[in-house]
Amino acid sequence: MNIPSILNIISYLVGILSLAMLLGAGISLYAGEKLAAMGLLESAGISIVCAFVSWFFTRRSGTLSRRDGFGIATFGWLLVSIFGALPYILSGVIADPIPAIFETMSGFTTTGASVLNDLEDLPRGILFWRAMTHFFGGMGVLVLCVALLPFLKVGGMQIYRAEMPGPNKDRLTPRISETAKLLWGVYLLLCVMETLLLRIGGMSLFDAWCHTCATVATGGFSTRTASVGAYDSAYFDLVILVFMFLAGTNFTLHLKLLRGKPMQYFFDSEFRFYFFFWLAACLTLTFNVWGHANMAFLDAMRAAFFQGTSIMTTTGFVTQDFDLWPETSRILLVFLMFVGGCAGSTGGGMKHIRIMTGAKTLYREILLYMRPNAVKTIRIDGQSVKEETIANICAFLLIFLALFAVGSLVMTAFTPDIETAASCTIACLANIGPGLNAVGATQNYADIPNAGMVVLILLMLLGRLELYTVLVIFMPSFWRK
Amino acid sequence: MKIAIVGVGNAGRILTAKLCDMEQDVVMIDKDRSALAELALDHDIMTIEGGGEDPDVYLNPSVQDADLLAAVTPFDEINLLSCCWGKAAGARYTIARLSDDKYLRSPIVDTAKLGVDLPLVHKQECTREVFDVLFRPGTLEVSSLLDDKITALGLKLPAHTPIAGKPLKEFKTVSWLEKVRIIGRIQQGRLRIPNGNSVMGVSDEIYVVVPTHEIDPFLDWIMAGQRKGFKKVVIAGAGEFGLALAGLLEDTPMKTILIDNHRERAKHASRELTRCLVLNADATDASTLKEAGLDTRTAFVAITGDEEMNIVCCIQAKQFGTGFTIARIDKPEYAPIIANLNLLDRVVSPNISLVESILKYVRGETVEDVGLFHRITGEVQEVVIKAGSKGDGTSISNLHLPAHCIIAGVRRGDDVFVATGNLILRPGDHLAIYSLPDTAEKIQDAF
Repeated sequence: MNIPSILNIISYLVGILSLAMLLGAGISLYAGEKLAAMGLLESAGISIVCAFVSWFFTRRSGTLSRRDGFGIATFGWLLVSIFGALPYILSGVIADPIPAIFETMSGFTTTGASVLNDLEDLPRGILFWRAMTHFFGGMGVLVLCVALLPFLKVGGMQIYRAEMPGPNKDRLTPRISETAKLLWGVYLLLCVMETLLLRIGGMSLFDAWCHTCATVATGGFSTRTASVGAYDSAYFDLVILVFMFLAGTNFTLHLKLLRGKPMQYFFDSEFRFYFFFWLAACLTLTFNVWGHANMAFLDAMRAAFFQGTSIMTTTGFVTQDFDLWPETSRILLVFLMFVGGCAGSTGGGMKHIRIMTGAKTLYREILLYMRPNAVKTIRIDGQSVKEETIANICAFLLIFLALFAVGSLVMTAFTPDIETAASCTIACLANIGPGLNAVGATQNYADIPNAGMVVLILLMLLGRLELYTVLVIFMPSFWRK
Repeated sequence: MKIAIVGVGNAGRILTAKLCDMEQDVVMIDKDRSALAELALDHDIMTIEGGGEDPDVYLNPSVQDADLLAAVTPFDEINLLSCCWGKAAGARYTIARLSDDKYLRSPIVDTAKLGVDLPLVHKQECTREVFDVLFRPGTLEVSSLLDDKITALGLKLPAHTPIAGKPLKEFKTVSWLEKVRIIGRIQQGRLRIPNGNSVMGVSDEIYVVVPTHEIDPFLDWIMAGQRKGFKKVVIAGAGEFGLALAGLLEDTPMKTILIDNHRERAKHASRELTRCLVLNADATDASTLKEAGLDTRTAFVAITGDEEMNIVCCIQAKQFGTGFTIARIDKPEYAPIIANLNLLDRVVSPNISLVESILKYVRGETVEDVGLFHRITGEVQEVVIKAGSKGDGTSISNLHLPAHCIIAGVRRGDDVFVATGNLILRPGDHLAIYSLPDTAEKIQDAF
């Protein structure tokens, strides 16, 4: 591992973030929040100085090796979360460093799990910074670096591989920096569109931007304590629902739409699976909720579709306290947490393509048990899937489940009941946000002790960087030359 | 520039590495999934899995708007088809590697109609290269520049050479050093660009740029009378390369012996060649080499398709007293290592010749010609001065050239000068510039 060159790239990351902090300070000054403005300014100052010093001393470091992408992703995300926590600490909003880092990591990994109460009373600058952590984390701050820093070359590819979700990293252009630019372009376009639509519906520009960041990045930080439910507007629900769904789709498909190929959505088997899975889950929720409470059918449908989409795309916005829904709906929502979005989207979770491939593999294994001599190829979109890819996907699913099991076990030490322990583990691992019971729709993570938070921070990072990137750091051979 | 390459073989790999250094957009097409994955780990390229002959591959948008499609698989038929499909799909320019010139000779085949803009017959280029070296004894490497007006030579300084022993600037009065320019030298395995204070030593290798018509007198001078032509050439391998080389040697006074242990190939060679002696024997056998009769005035060329065997043959031939050995090495990774081992006098590689030709096209307008050497890194580029450009009207000493490069020669109309500091550049001048690899890309910016 080439530590100086890793530090060199990370200094760029921290530098980019400090610019967003300065923007937050500007908003705070405009809103007349002196304390928050000072906190944000100080954080920006510290970040810029640290970034410059580490850049200066590592500027002549050599080129990146094949493995350095993993180091940059893992340590980059950790350091960025530490620097990103400074505004919370220095403005006094979250004085304790561990919860502050938790809040930042939750923002960057687009989890949306919060330790903050009464969001309406928070300084606007801090709320803006909170939304910006989603914005950067959604498409990936490293992918942004790959797009902006022309000198990365081969290193850029390693970094891209380490951060982009999904088992196959699509390349849209021969050069990775062009691909990264295109993806960020689509991401920005979605952001602009949603902000405009929310603004047209009557949301203030500030709230519209913050909710947009949380939607398109599939994050879930709202500017209201009651989340999107606070607006109680069918229009906002619909706009946010549509954009959550789009954010959970492979961004390559949006790009193909922009290139004039709208039918590509339905040629893509992962999208078809995503669409029908989503429809089935939301309809089941609708009928279950409708039969349970004395809700009108349309109200039940609105709540169920919004909540189902929000949880499945790993956004984590809330319009209704789903902890009061029937048990079937509650467990179904937990199942949806595992599934997540599509590969190449901003959503977390296991990803639909892996579930699909895993299911096909299971079917094949059962068939082979019956016909031991049969040779069967697994196909996605008519293309055969490499056996190594299948092994990689099955191992991913297993590690994911193992982390869920071990995480739940550990979290029982820090939470009041099993439901809370298990649901907060999966809510963090799959980057969703709200869980059940003590971390449920109307609750937050403030009551979890610091040790438990450290575990959850690690789980969020593992989930966002899709396990392998983080896990290789624990391999002794990674550290050897 | 967007460049699609078909074939991830040796040539494809060298080409990819060179193009990535030049920051071009590269798309690699091949059937071999694992070779593609391996290449993509080291280079920022897009890969498409599929055979070059498969028309579906060319429906990919990255291939459709390629500026250049280079088909460099070992199979002529696939390369021709690739160019054909690629052109139909929308590639702007196509280059096909052909190992045989039968398609070009045939009156019924029109490669341009097939969609091939530039057919490259690398057999000819490679055999020509070997022939040049054999024909100019004493040289290790020959590369012609500026429309063949000047030539870059690599040679090993023999004992008693008049150039050794004092700093170059003290040679001012010697007429030769005003006509030639030393662009590089290897001393104890390290390559440096010499300046006036450099002192040449016996058994250094130097690279010199010489006006083409003065090569022979120059070599006579620098080799201090030890330069003698080869009397005999022994070629191991009667494949297409060996046969082509023997064919070229037919018209020279040199005696040629062609060795191949494959009976049919040997028979075929004896039918094709008239003067040459064909031996059907194993070139690695001591008895065969004894029969061929090797001495210091014999050159031994191992040019089979098996590079390990070529190396072994050459080492053995050296043991039997051959004066000069040349081996064909295809794998790009081997060439510099072999060159450093000093077991062989010269390495040729058809792939490097091929890549050199393709790069000429890629460099585009200001850079006209590129010469690559096998034994040293770096390359010679030809640059044309355009009216109104940075170089127009500037004297050479005022040009802001990057470090590690040297202007070897200037051609103005039909005259060729060796570049001196006071020379004022004019539009239309052709410059030959030698540079080390890290500088090669920056040269165009200086003009």
